Amino acid sequence: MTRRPYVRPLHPHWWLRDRRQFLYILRESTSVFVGLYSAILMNGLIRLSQGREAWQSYLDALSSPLGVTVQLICLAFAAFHAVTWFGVTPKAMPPILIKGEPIPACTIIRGHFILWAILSLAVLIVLGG
Amino acid sequence: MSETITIRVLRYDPDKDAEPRFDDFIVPYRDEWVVLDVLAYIKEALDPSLAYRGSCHMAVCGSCGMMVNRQPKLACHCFIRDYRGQLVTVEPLDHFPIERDLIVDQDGFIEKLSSLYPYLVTEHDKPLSEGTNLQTPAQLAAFRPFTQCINCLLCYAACPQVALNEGFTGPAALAIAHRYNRDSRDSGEELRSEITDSHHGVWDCTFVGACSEVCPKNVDPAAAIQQTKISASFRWLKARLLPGGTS
Repeated sequence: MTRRPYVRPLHPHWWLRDRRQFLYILRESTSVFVGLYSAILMNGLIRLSQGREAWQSYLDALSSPLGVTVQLICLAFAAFHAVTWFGVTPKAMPPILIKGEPIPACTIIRGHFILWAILSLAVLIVLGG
Repeated sequence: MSETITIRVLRYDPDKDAEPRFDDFIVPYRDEWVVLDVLAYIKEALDPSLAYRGSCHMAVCGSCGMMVNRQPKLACHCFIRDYRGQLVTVEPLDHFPIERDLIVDQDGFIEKLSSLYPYLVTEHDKPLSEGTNLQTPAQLAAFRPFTQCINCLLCYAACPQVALNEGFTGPAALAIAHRYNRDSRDSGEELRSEITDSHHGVWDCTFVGACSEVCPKNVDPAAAIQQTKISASFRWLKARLLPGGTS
């Protein structure tokens, strides 16, 4: 009897063959859009330093149909990014014990959503005011 | 004619086959049968050359891990009634070399696990006269979930990083290391950190989370690895910031 273990090559589209892996790659790819929005904000700072006209043209670009579309796409991916990471947060932190019992994962996740809502509301109030 | 179900099984005979192929078997459908029962039927009634692993038939021994319709499953924990009317494809666990048919070569895993001191490491041998080691319920709770690992390797088959990085220590081995690191009787964390804190230790993990989803014993290796990342980061900082740091 021969011992000749066969190594199966990884399928080139491995992340498309399984829903779980596809969602993982989708979660990872959100970082591109979060990075893109960060670059847009950085550009805003640069334009601000260049004077009133440059700042105004930056604002005009943001409110153009293309600018709004890009921001909406970034928002959707950033929201997906946040939701998926909130979901795995309980795994990423050491168990917190209260009276000897670990806090349930769902409580930690809910806490993150509540904090997100409070912070978003605070930002809207500050900007709106 | 009574109801049947078609099982497509990956076959590989190192003496004859250049690469694996699939064989289809039509077997009787039984409501109470799991995939392991089907494989036993095939071996007894249809093809005695079929090779697979299995033992306890109750999700304890961890021998019968395989891919069932592309998902890592314990064959003894996987009822064919859940696949009624479907073609059931059974393959050896992904990301392992195939030894024969449904049997994979586990040597790589065993080597990685062995390198992590997967046992209680104590600084001094304690004489019997000092009695047993006592632990509080809280001390036990800190590591107990991670003791449930049965080395079935479903987590390795689910993890894309295991496939992409051959050197990655992998979920089960890191979860077992975490189990001992969290044990109040153990003093081996520093020894294990040489592997756990290295690139091929916890840092090859990109937190896919699939390992925890497929674990039949709810061990949660993903949590073990992320918690080890926190400990590893503190060790790294401590070694660089505190006087007397060693590395």
